[in-house]
Amino acid sequence: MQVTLKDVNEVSVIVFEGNLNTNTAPQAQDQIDQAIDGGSVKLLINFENLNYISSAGLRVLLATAKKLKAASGDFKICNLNETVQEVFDISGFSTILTVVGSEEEALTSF
Amino acid sequence: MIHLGTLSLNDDDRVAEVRTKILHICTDLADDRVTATRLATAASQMCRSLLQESTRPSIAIDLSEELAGPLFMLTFLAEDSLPAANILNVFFDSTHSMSAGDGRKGIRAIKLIRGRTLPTAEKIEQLRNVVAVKSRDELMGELQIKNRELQQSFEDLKRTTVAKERMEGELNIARNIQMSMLPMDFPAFPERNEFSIYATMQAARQVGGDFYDYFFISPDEFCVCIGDVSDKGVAAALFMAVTKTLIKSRASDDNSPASIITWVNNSLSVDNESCMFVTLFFGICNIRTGEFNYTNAGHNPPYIKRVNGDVECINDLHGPVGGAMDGIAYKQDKLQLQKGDLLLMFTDGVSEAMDVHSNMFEDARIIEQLSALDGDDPEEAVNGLMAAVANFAGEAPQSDDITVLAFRYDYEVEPGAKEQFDLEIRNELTEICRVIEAFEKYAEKVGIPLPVTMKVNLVFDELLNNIITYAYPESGEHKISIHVEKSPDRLLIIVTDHGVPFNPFTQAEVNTSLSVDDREIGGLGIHLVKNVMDKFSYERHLDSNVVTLIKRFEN
Repeated sequence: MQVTLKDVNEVSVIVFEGNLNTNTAPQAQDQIDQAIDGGSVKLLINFENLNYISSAGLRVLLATAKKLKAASGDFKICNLNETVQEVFDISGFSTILTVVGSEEEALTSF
Repeated sequence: MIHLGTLSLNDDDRVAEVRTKILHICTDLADDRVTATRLATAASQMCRSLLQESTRPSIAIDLSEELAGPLFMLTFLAEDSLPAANILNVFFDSTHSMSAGDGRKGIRAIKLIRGRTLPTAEKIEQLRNVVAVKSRDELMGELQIKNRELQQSFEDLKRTTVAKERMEGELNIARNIQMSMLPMDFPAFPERNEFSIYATMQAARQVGGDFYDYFFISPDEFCVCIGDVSDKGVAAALFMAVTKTLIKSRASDDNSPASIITWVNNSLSVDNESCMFVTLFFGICNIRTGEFNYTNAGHNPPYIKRVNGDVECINDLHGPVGGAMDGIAYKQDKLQLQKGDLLLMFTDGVSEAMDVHSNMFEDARIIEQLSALDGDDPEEAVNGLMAAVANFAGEAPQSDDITVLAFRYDYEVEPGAKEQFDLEIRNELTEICRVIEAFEKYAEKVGIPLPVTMKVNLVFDELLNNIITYAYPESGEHKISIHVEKSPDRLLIIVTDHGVPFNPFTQAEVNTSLSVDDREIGGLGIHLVKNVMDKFSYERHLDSNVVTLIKRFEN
């Protein structure tokens, strides 16, 4: 899975490309931890190039959300495709995480 | 010595008879009524004494000859002591004791009849008759005995006849049970043109317990079965009925022949005091794919005539006869049917049919018959074989039930309709990528909408994760197989593993309304699977976990 990291106005934006599942979850977790440990308290994950996410991936997101909440940080996710949105809905993650439509929208809301 | 006869002295009436007879004889001999009377009286008195004092007395009358004239001899016999012979001494010339040949004791009294001659042979016969003639009472007594014996014989005959009729009745009942359980409506499934089936059972005089059956367990899965119960009579017919019912009942819930036969065998073996058993050949044909899975429990192997004319023997055996011992794990094998293949099943009544010289029909003739069959009509195949057996047997009586079943597969999968995906992986998490990659390729090829593909990927991820982690707790390499079938409006996914019994869908329900702080991580994967698929189910077959999923979509 391809991961790209960029900083936009103090917000760390991580873009995942491919699938976020059992195999790629550890890698994703590492990348996110790196960003947070590097001092980020504002994190945006862009899923526009993500095909699907499995429960392993959801676990990563949940852990991230808990971590950032503890640090009084802010965590949003954007550009979910239909499949990923459905997964978020079924799992109830669309209510506990902040999901926004586009990256622009997300960045302005931080 | 001329023996005129012996009379047993049973009672006083007899004594009177004896007196009369002696009187008659002596009168004839001596031609002197006075002497005769004295002799008769003396004899009579002696007889009475004997009757009182001795055991089982009898009296023998004999004649002999001396120069001076014929001798009249009376011998009084008894098993034990005899009374004194005083009275005899008065009127007879001499008396003396003697022992009879049979150990009895006797007293013989002799009287010389002077001046007379020994009677002629003719006369002697007459005198013998006088001794032998029976009194009316005696005759009545004998008649009564004869009557009793006749009555007894009559009773015995009646009892035997009733028993025989009952046995005939039993045989009829057994035959009725047997016949009523065999499907005999042909054509069996006129609305289905994917196959054709015909069967017949010809019972021996003594009902044998052969049976056959065929039925659907799902729109595409068709079962055929043939069997032979050991033993004969009502017991065998009932055992057959039980077996047949167990098979059909289990098959409605289980589509693995090995699993079905294993279960049926266990059910039959428990409480089988009569130690009956049954040979079974049971198979399930997937009408769509032509795959025929079968289990043979001690039954004589069937044959298949391929569409190109080759005749093969299906000779795998998967376990012992059914009902003998419980706890046996039966196996199964698979063969692929092509359009036009003809399966021929039969019982050993065919191969073991004998002619008058005790030669057996044998498998060689069955193969010959099958090879020579013109065309592939099941009815012709069955009737042809039956005729060949009848011809061979000739005058020899039929000793066992003869059963034949023929099944011809007629379905051809439309060319290019191979919209199936099959993959086998090892139980390693890294294999999941391989599944997803392969599936994505297949999905693109057969035109599955992308969102559906993504959902299926997710399902594979979650499910395989669970299986690899929980179904194989011990180390070691195991296989997991994945099968996908595409229909115009749905996907069928079947994931099979051979691990410990593990139902992924019985994990605790996830509470999706909890906040970030309260959410648990576990159980989410299966929750997703359940909600993303339209149907999900789990089944445990004999040694495997089978998860079936259905996802509907618009094309």
